[in-house]
Amino acid sequence: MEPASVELEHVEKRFGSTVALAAIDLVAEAGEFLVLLGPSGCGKSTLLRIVAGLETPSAGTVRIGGVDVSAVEPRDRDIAMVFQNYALYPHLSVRRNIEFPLKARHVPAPERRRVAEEAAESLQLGELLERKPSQLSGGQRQRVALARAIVRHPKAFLMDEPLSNLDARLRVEMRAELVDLHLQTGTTIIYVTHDQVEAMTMGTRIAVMSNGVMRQLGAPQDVHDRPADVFVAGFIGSPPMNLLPGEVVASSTGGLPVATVPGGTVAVGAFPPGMKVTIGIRPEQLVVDDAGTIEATVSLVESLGHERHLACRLPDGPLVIVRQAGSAPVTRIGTPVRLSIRNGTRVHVFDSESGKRVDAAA
Amino acid sequence: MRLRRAREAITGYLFVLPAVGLFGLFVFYPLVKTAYLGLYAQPVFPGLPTRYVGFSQYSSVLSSPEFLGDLWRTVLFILFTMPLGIALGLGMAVLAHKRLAGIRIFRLIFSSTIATSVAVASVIFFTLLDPQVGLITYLLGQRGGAGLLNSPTWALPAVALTTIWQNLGFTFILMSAALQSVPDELIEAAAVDGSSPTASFWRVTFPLLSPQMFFVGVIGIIAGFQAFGQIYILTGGAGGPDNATTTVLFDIYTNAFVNNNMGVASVMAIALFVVLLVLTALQFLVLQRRVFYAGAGA
Repeated sequence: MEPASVELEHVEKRFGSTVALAAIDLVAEAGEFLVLLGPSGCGKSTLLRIVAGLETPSAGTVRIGGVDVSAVEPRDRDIAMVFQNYALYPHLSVRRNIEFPLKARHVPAPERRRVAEEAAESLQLGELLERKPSQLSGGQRQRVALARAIVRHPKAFLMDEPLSNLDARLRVEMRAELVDLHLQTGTTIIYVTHDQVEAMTMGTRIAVMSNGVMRQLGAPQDVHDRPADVFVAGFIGSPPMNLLPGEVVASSTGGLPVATVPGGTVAVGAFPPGMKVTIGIRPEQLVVDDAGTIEATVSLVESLGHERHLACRLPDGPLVIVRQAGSAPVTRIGTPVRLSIRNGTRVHVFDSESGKRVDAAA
Repeated sequence: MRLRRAREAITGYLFVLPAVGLFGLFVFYPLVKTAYLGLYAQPVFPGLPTRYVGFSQYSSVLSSPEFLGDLWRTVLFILFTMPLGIALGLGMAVLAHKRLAGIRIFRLIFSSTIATSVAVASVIFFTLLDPQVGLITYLLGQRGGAGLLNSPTWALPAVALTTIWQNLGFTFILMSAALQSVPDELIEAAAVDGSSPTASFWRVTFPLLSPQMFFVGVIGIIAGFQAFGQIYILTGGAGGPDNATTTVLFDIYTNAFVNNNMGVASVMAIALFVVLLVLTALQFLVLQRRVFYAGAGA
C-alpha cells in the first residue's frame, strides 16, 4: 500500500462545554514522520484518535489519501495504531497477535503465517512467536505492537506515546528502531508524545500543541531556533529557555536598542522604546563574563559531567539557568557573577501581552 | 528464641480456635455423623432400632435406579438452567454495557431479580404457569390443559425456567463486571485492526470473559445440585409429577423427612457432598491457572 497523506481541516472537538480541540488544520504529507508534541491534556491524543476514527470530531473533515473518511469506521480506514499500553490481546500468542489484523481481513492462513513471520523477524521476535504477551518484557511487547502495525502495510501509522512505558535506555534504542522502520517502510507516521527529545530526534516536522490549539508547525530545528510563542519557547529545549519580563529602552551608547531585564539589560532588535516584552534566552546562550550586562548570584550548581547547569538568582528574584561545558572553570554557590549573551547569538523577543514572537532574528 | 516462637504459635492457635470450634460443631461433626448414619439401615417398620449394614447400603443406594434417576434429572436440570442462564445474563450485560442515556434504569431492572427470594420467584411463576389463568400457559396455547407443572415432560423445564429467571440478576451483575474489566483499548485496537464489532466481541471480549464465565458456570452447577425451594413450592412438595422433578437433593429431603429413612438420605447426602467437593476443587484449580489474564495487556 502506498503511503497516504493525512489531512485535518478545521477539526474541532468539544466535550460538553469544554473545547478539547479548537479548529485544527494540519496536513501530514505522504511518507512524513509528523510528531504531535504537547503536555498532557493538550488534545494531541484526541486528535490522533479522531484520525483513527475512535473519536468523532464535533466539526471538521478528516481525509486520508485525499479521501474524506469522516464517516468511515476505524476498521475501514486502513490505518494501524500503536497504543501507549500496547493493547496486545492477552489471550493470544505473539504469532496470533501479529496475525490478528490479517485474519480480520480474511487473508488466507498460509499467507498470514508467512507475512507475520516476516514482520516478527524484522523486529527480532522470531524466538517469541509462541509466547503470550504476559511472558514478554516491556520492550518485547512494544515490538509485538509494532509488528502488528506493520504487518499489513497500512496507509498510515498512528502512534500514541508508544515509548512512554519503557525505561530510559530502551527508549533510546526504540527511537532509533522507529526511525529505521520509517526509512524502510516509507509510511506516513503520526506520532504523539509529550517528550520533546523524541519529537526533536524522530520527527520530520513537529506540531506543538497546548490547550487544544496548535501553536507551531515546523521542522524540529526551526521550532527550536524560532519558537513561535512563549509556550513553544518554554516547552522545547532542556533545560528550558529562560523567560524574563523586560521593557525596551533606547540604548545609552547609541547602539542597538536594549531591553531591561531584572538585573541588567540585553541587546534586542529595533523595537519602539517603552514596549513591554518577554525576553527568551536559551541556557547555552548565557556565559559567565566579567564584562556581562546582567548581575546575578549563583544559587545552585548541577554537574552532569560533560556539562554543568548554574542556577543564577537575579536581583528581583527570578532564576536563570546557565549551561556551561564541563571543562569551564568551576563557580561556587553564592558567588556574584555577571552574565552576557554569547557572541553571535540573539535573544528571543516575545510580545508580553500576546506571547507571540516579535523579533525576526534567528 | 524457641520459646518466643512457641508462644507465638500458641497465640495463633488461640485466635483460630473459635473458628475451628464453630466449624467442628456445625460442619465437621454433622458430616462425620452423616457418613456414620449411612452405615445403618432403617427397618421396614418405623419405631424399630436401626441395623448396622456397613457399606452395603452405600453400594445398594448409589446403584439403585431411584438414585441414578435422581442424578440424571439433576444433570438435566443443570443443562437446562446453566448454559441458558449464562447466555441470557451475558447477552443482557452486553446490551446494558452501551453508553446510552437512561441505561442505568435498564441495569437496575436487569439486576432486580437478585432481590427476590426463591419463594417469591416460585410464587410468581406458579401463577404464570397456572393451567387456567397463567400468562405462560396462555402464550403457549396450553389453556385448558393440565398445565406444564403437571406434565411429566414439561415440569422439569418449567422449574428450570423459574430458576433461570431468579438467577438472572446475579449472572447479569457478574457478567457486567466482567465486561467492564475488558480494557477499552483492546476493543479499539481490534477496531483499528479491521474487526467488525461482532468479530471483536467473539475474538477479543468473549475469550477474556472466560474466567468469569467459568466461575458463573461452576456456581450454576452447584446451585443446580442445591435447588430445592422452587421444586418444593412449584410441585406442592411432591417432586412430581411421577418424580419428574425429583433431583438428588429433593430425594434426600423426601427420604429424610417424609419417609423417615435417615440411612438412605445420608448415603445420598455424602454422594452429593463428594460431587460438590470435586467441582469446587476443579474450579479452584482452573481459576488459579487463568489468573494471569488479569493485567496481562498492560
